[in-house]
Amino acid sequence: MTERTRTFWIEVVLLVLIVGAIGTAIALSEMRPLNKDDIKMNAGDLRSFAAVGRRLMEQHDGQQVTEQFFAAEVELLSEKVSTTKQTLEESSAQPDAENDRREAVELSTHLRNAVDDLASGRGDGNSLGQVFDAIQTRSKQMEDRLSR
Amino acid sequence: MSKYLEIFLGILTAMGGFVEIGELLFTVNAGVKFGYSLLWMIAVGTIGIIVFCEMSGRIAAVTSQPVFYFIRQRAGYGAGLLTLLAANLASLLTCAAEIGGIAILLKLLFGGNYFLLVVVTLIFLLLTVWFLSFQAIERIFGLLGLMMLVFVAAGFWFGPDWSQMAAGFVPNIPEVKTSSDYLVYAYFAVALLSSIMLPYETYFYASGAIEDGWNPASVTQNRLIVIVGFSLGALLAVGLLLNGALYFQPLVIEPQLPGTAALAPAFAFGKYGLILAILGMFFAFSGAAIENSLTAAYNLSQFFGWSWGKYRVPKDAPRFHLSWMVVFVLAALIILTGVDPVQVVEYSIVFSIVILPLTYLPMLLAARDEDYMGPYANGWLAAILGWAYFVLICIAALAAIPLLVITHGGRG
Repeated sequence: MTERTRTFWIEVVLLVLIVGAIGTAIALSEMRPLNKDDIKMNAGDLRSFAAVGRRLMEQHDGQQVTEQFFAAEVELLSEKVSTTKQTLEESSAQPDAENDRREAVELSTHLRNAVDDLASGRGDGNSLGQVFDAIQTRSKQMEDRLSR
Repeated sequence: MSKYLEIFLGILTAMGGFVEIGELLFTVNAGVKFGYSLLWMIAVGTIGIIVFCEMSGRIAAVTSQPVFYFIRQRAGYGAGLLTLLAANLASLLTCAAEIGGIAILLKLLFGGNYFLLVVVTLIFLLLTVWFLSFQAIERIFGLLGLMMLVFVAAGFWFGPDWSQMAAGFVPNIPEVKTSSDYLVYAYFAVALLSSIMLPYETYFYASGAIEDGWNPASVTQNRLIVIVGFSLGALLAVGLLLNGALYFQPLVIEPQLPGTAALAPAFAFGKYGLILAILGMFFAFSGAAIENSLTAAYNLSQFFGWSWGKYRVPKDAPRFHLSWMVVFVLAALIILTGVDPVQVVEYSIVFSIVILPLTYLPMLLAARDEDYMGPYANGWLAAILGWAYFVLICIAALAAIPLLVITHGGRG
């Protein structure tokens, strides 16, 4: 084996090891039970999704967006909320984070229902807006509490 | 076409093609998280991409050789092959993210099943590259991408604080709530730098210069296009950051979808603002998808010495043409697995900065070599900026993956 070939294979093996190590680290982090930081991030997502829902509703009422845009964006938002809800429901949590996980699951369920109402046009704007605001406030409080 | 018109169109094309889905989302979210504080990183990234694209365009104009020729020649076969694999993986991921983004935009415009729209997008892109000439692709997508200027108009419509904005252009560390937020700030700084200096832009620019038949007389044109075009393109990035800082931050929204980002121009200008934003993104993302697929094909062909060029008919450059088609198909397949395009963007951007030093060092060495470049070799300014940026991207490359892991992709 020439020097050049040996160097090439050493580089290839190093690259594969680095990529493998990163991949394993990411996979392991996905599989471990949720800790407070993970739940804080999910609460942050729920806070942002609730704010998007509220904003979409307002801009739709103000005729600033098209009907097609509104319907599609609400559908995409609903998928995002469902993914977060599923992650929270299907993952286990570390013992000290279990109560927070349950609270986040409850918030995600409320948000999912609110987004469904927004999609189907159920409920009047005021009460739905209040629901989004309440979810946003609770998610923010949770995020702040878990940041400490 | 007169030379002045060509330069003018080149500048507009460079400007319109400046933003893609990764830069859009990272820049808006940088504004949401840190207000005006990261504006300086847009300036740093823009000067960096000007320095390296000017160099790659100048090398291409003078030697008629593209970037990957020099990578293989200067770095050797082994390191060159690794750079090729990494660069093409980054291009594939970026192309996949753009295809996912385009499908979402089509859904916002016309409705329909997302996965079906991914297939429609794939067919649209394949037909576009098959039937249109290189110049037509460059101009159509670059110029129509300028509709994204509606984000700039919205950014200024929201009434920025000019003194704070000016302060944001000076490197700074903002006041944050927790110490971990400093790492998030560093992550966004690195990601912004990477999203502006994506390596495919340099490969594509140099290959495009050869496709356009540039010669040593084109060196001034090259300089004008990159300096003016990219500086104006940076205005787009500034506009996006203002949308984040002034519209989304008070609403505590961190946009994760292109449609959410379009709510800002919709608020400012109503339905017309919304449509312009969506169409602008559509052309910008489509342009980026095409550039990435062609870049991967250019890289492969240039590295292995195959016949290449969009100006060549498929019969004369079969492996080149097959390569860009395969990249489109693979990219669409990645998105059809159901992976979130935004997550793909994140990985492609962080991965891109890791390979930036491997791309820029051979170019830097070639551009200063008087045997190759003759009187067009790097002057003192290009040399100082080139080496300074090389050190900067090496530091960013080392920090990128640890920051991605520690900050959970910037989520804190």
